[in-house]
Amino acid sequence: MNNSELIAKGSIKEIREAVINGKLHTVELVNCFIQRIKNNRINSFISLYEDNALKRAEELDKKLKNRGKPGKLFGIPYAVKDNIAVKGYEVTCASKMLKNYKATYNATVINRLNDEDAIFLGKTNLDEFAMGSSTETSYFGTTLNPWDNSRVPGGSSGGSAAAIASGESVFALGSDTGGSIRQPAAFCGVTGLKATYGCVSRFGLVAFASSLDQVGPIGRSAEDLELIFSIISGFDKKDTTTKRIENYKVSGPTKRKFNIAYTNDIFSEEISPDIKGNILSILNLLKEEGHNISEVAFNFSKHSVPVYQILSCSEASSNLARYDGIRYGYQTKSYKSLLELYNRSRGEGFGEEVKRRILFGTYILMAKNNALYTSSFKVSRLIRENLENIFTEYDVFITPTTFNPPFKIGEIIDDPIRMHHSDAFTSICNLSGNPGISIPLGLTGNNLPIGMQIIAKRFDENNLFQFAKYIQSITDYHKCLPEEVK
Amino acid sequence: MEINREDIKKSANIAKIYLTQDEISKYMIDLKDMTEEFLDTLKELNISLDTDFDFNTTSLKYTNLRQDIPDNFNNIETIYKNAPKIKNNLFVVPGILRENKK
Repeated sequence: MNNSELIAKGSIKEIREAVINGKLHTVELVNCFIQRIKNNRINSFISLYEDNALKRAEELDKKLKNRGKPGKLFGIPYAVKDNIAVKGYEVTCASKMLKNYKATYNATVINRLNDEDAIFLGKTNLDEFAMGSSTETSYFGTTLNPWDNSRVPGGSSGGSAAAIASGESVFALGSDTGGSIRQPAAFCGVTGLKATYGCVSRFGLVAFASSLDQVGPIGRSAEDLELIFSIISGFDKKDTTTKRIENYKVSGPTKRKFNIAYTNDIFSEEISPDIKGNILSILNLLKEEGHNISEVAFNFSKHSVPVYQILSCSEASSNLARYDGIRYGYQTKSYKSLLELYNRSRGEGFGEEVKRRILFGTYILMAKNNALYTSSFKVSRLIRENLENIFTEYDVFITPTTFNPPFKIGEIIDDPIRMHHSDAFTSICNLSGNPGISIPLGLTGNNLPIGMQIIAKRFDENNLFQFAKYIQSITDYHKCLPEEVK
Repeated sequence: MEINREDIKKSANIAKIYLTQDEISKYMIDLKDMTEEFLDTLKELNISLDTDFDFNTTSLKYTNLRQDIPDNFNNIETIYKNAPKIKNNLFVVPGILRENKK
C-alpha cells in the first residue's frame, strides 16, 4: 500500500506503524487530512484547528526522534463532534446559543485519546444539541452525504460520519442518545459504536438526555473502533454512572461459531428491499459458514420511538434549563426585565427542533401527563427484559440500523414524526443500555450505503467486536468508498 | 389527548422560552400529533397507563453517587470570558427591585 492509499484506506494499526517506522511523517499525514477538509464541500466540520494540529504533529515527530515511547494512537488524526469539550476550543453544539462558547476543560475521552498521542483536528457538525437525525437542524447548515450530496448524512453525529466517509479523518468521536452514532454511520457507509451505558465517561459531553447519552467512535472498521473503545472506556470519577469494570482488552481473531438471532422486523414492508436483501444475503453467508441463525420475534421496534422521545425530551427539558443567557451563551439585546432576558435569550438562541423538544418534555413532565412518563419507563424495562431473554440463548442480535437508505435533504424535515422514526432500531439500545454497532452492508442499486446493527449483551463488547470483526473479515463492505475518495 | 394554546403557553412559561403567536400555533399542532401518535402506539402494548411505577427498580438505583466535596477551580478567567456581560468579576443582570424602588 503506498502512502496515499494508506491515508485513505489504512487501519489505525497500519498508519501508526508507517509513522513509527518513518515511512510516513506525522506532519505530512496531518497536512494531508487538513487539505482534504479544506478542499471538501460537504460542511462536515464546524471548525478546523490547523495550526494546533500541525504543532502537535511536530511535537510527536520530535518525541519519536528523541526515542519517546509512542502511544497506541501515535500520530493518528481524529475529529470531535462539536458537543464534546476540548479545552480552549469552541464547543457550539451547532447552536446559536453556544456560538463562540469556549470549553474550560477537556472531556475525559479527549484526555485519554491525547494521552495515547492522537492528534485533534477540529470539531464536526451535528444537529443542534444532538437533536435530530440529519444535521438539518444545525445552526451552521446541513452536512452533505459524501455518497450523494443531495442527501443527508444522518444525525446527529452526521459531521463525524461524513468526515470518515470522505477521508477527512481516520476516526471521529460522536455521541449517541437514540442512535446518533449508528444511524449516520449507516447512512455514510462507515462503522459506528454505542457502547454499554456506563462504559464510556460522559464528563465533558454536553448533556442532552443523561440516562441515555454515550460518547463513542466512528471509524473505518470494527477493528479500529475496538482499539478506540479500549482507550476511552473505563471508570471515571468525574462521571458517577461509569462502572468499575476491568480494562478492556482487544480481542484476537476467532474461529468460533456464533449463535445469531435476527429480528423478524426485516420482513416488514417498511424495510427497504435493498436493506432486507443485503441482510438476508449476509445471514445466508453466515449460515453457510456454519453459524447458528434464528429468527426472533422482537415486538418493540415500533414502541421504542415513543418511549425514547418521551424520556429523552423530558430529560432535555431539564438539562437545557442551564442556558439562561447570563453566565454564558447567547444573550438577547431586547429585554426590560430579568424574566424577559431569560425568555428572549432562550427563544432566540434555540432553534426550532430544540424548542419543540424542550416544550414537549416540559409538557410531559406536567402532573397531568405523569402516566405517559411512567408508562414509558415500564416499556423501557420491558425492552430491556426482552433483550436479556434473547441473550440467554444467543451471542448477538441483528437488526437493520435504519428502515431506509439516506433520505433527501429537506424531504422530511417538516415532519417530526417521520424524522423520529429513523431511531426505531437504534433507540432500543439506548433504552436498554445494551451495546450496539452499525457496520456497512454494501450499497443499494442507487449507490447509497446500507447499515446493519449488531447488538450484544450489556458489558459484552468483546463478543460484539469479535462478531463485527468476523463479518468484516469475510466481506469487503467496510472498504467501499465514495467515488471521489477512491 | 387534547392540547390547546394554553398548554403550549404554560409549557413555554415553565421552560422560559419566548414564543411568537405563529410558533405557538405550530408547536400546538406538532405536540398534539406527537402525543396522539405516541399514546396510540403505547396503548397497543396493553400496559396500564398509570403512575404506579417503582423507579428504584430502574438502573437509577445502581448509580454510585460521589461525595459532595468542594474543590478549587483555577480557571476562573475562562469563565468570565464566556459570560455575555461581566462587571467587577460579577455577572451583570437586570435589576429586579427597580420597580419597587419607584
